[in-house]
Amino acid sequence: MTAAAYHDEYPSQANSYLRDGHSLWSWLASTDHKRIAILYAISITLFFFVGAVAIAIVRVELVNPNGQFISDDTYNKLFTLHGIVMVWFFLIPSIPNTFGNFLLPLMIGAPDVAFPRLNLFSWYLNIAGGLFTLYAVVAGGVDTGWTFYTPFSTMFSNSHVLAAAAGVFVAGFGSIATGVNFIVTVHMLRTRGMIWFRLPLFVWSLYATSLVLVLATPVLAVTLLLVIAERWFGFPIFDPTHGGDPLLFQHLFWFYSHPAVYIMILPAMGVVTEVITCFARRRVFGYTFMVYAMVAIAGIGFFVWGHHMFVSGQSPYASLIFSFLSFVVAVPSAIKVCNWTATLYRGQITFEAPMLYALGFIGLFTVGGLTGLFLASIPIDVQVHDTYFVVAHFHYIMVGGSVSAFFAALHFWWPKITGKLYDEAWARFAAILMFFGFNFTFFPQFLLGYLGNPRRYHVYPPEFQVYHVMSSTGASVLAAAYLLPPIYLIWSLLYGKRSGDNPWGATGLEWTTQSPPPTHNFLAPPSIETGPYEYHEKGEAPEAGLRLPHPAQSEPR
Amino acid sequence: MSVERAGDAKAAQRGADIWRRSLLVWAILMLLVLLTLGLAYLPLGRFNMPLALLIAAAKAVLIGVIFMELRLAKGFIRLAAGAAFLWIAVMFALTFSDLASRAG
Amino acid sequence: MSAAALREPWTRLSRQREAATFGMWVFLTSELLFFSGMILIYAACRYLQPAGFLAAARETNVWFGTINTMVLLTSSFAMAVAAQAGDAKLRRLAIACLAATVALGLAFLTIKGFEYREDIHEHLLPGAGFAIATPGAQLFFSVYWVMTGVHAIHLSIGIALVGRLILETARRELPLSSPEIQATALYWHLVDVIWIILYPLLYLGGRS
Repeated sequence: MTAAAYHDEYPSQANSYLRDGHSLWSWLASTDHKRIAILYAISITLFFFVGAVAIAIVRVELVNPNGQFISDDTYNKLFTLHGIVMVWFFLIPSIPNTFGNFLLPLMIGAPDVAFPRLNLFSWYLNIAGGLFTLYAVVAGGVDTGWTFYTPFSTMFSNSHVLAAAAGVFVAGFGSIATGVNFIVTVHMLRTRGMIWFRLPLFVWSLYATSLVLVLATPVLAVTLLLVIAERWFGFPIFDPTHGGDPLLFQHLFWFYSHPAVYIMILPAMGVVTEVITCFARRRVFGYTFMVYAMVAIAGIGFFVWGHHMFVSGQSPYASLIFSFLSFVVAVPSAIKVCNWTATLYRGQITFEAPMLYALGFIGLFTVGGLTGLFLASIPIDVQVHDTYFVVAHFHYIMVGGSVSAFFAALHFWWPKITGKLYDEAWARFAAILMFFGFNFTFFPQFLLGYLGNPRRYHVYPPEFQVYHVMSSTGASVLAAAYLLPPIYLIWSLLYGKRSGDNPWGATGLEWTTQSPPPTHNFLAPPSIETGPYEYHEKGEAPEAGLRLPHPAQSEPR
Repeated sequence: MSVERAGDAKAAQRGADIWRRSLLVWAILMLLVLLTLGLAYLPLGRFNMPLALLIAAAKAVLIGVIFMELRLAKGFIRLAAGAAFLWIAVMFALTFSDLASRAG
Repeated sequence: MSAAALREPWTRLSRQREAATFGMWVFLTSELLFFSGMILIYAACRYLQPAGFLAAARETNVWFGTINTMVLLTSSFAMAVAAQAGDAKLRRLAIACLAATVALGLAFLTIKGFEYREDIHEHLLPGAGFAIATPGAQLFFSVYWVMTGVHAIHLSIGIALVGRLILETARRELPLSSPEIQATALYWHLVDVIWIILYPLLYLGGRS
């Protein structure tokens, strides 16, 4: 039903979830998925800054080729810290545990997730894991790289591997809990009429992500457990002097860590679809293919892990299989990029901040994805493995992709979560600054890697200095761009205009309820008769001349 | 009074039914343990371990289907149970594709 | 009574039960993946060091292992009866069988304790002074200690969960129709299934 009809039927204003209890305890013990989402948002922001400070020091160090400011050991600890914190305590929980937690029940018309207490427990597991890891940092750091390769991590490293491994182990169970919760929620709490193929693609993306969370994370857990057993108790497992194979660690580690990157990108893809359909006023092109593509990415993503091991001593026959499958897994991603582009075609496109981030995602994710194909090709990988080419590749996807989508989501759903409007001009400026800062930081790294600069070294041949200086300069622009949103968003919390229920005129059940939503999400359980993204009749382009009103001037549509 | 006794008798009957159903499964499981123990001492060469694992799989299936009530479960639950094995198979197959084909 | 078991966001207890069962199965799927990682390590190391594994497998105590297997299978039997008794609202039978489950679980841990003590006494803890010289034998025992240790931790958690069920059911704080009994039963059976697979891997090798 339209927003107007809904308000006619349920006119009373219920208490928003933000006003439902003001004490600290009411937040820390809340089983309301929306409050838990905000708890996660705060913790991932704090972890983001920890990881960002680490890499800021690295980028300053790399301006100079002689490694003058910090020791080798400290350098190792800094990039390890950056990797561990950014992967496990920022990226993995970012979109699923903040926007996923907040929006999943709203988008399917449910009052909460299937297991609200488990949801709260998952946040505490995440925090406990984070504290273990921060202890490892404070106690002196870890120098193995975020990948914990054996036998260095188990037998030779003199750093706090145990604490860091334990931290990630504990946080992993938070991930599994989230995955279980989301899967059961989508199966069993959809409101009347919300059949599987009417679900918004963000919900599908969370479902696919949850499948990966549940199947992959336990393997990481057991791998870290084995590292802990070997290191703490001295049980030889990956030890070659006892006949063990260090490569077994890599197999188990990457069996998780490759699907993990799909945990990081699938929700981002879901966000992009939500934003692009809204700001192009278009139905999504090829909804069914988009669904199957995401499920295929989640599935095939489990079969490609050996592409991280082409130069490790892995059998060339296995490498061939992994290489072939790595090319195959690119296909569903390409289908999605095509479909987003087709969604834009003949759309009534406007360039609000969420749209700028979403469009940036498409470009940067494509670059990252295509360079992934280079890496999937064994001869090229032999040349560029462990160089800055790989670093640039995954940052294009993780930062250019996932983080852009995170900011798209943050701006798109900010009015729903807080009931306030942010300043559009500053937001657009930050988005554009971020895009340029990002490219200045990471594009030179493709060149560095191709020319032979290895990763994880702070001393490098002087002919590479110009690229490092470009990259570090870009990083400072990027840092400035990241500092802008906290400022104008907090300003909007304090002084921003009220947003109304649906400032963007978007479809989706979350927009039919109040901004911010009441504690139980809907005043009455909604009922669905139509599919998602009903911005126009099927088979027609949106009416010419129909402009999306600016949120500052708009009434709810 | 007699209504209570009849109720007790019914409850006792239901209890006995529950016992009997599960007791049969338990007896088969015990037999399988003894079987697998005995077979372990027979010199079957390469087949000892696969045979033992096959019997273990039989025990696991019995527990899964009867004690864990998979026979009564809806489709998506059986799918969840089956999915794990598919993924484990892939993990083993691709890892061994490396181990088994390395030169020397 | 049944209202006590109903939790948000569920509006019907039958749906909540279905969700608890489904959720536990999804979690068990992750547990299966967890243990298979260890079994993969076992399989890979056995592939790489067959002689060492054969020599080492003989040294596990097959009697402790077999008795423990039977104990755990019986505990699954008790747990299955308890769950069905709960469904049939047979309070005393359910509590008795839950108690039997806990007792058998504790028996398993006790026997395991004796077994560990014997293993240590016979220098089967990997490290300096390890009893078997064959290369690769220490790998077997590394995997043995990790797998049985992690299994024992899972079993202990199961015992705690079942113990809690007994207390709350006896105090009538938890109705017999509660989803928690079914979910706990599923977890218990999984711990048994894991042991069923570990048993031949750790105890039946190298016997012939």
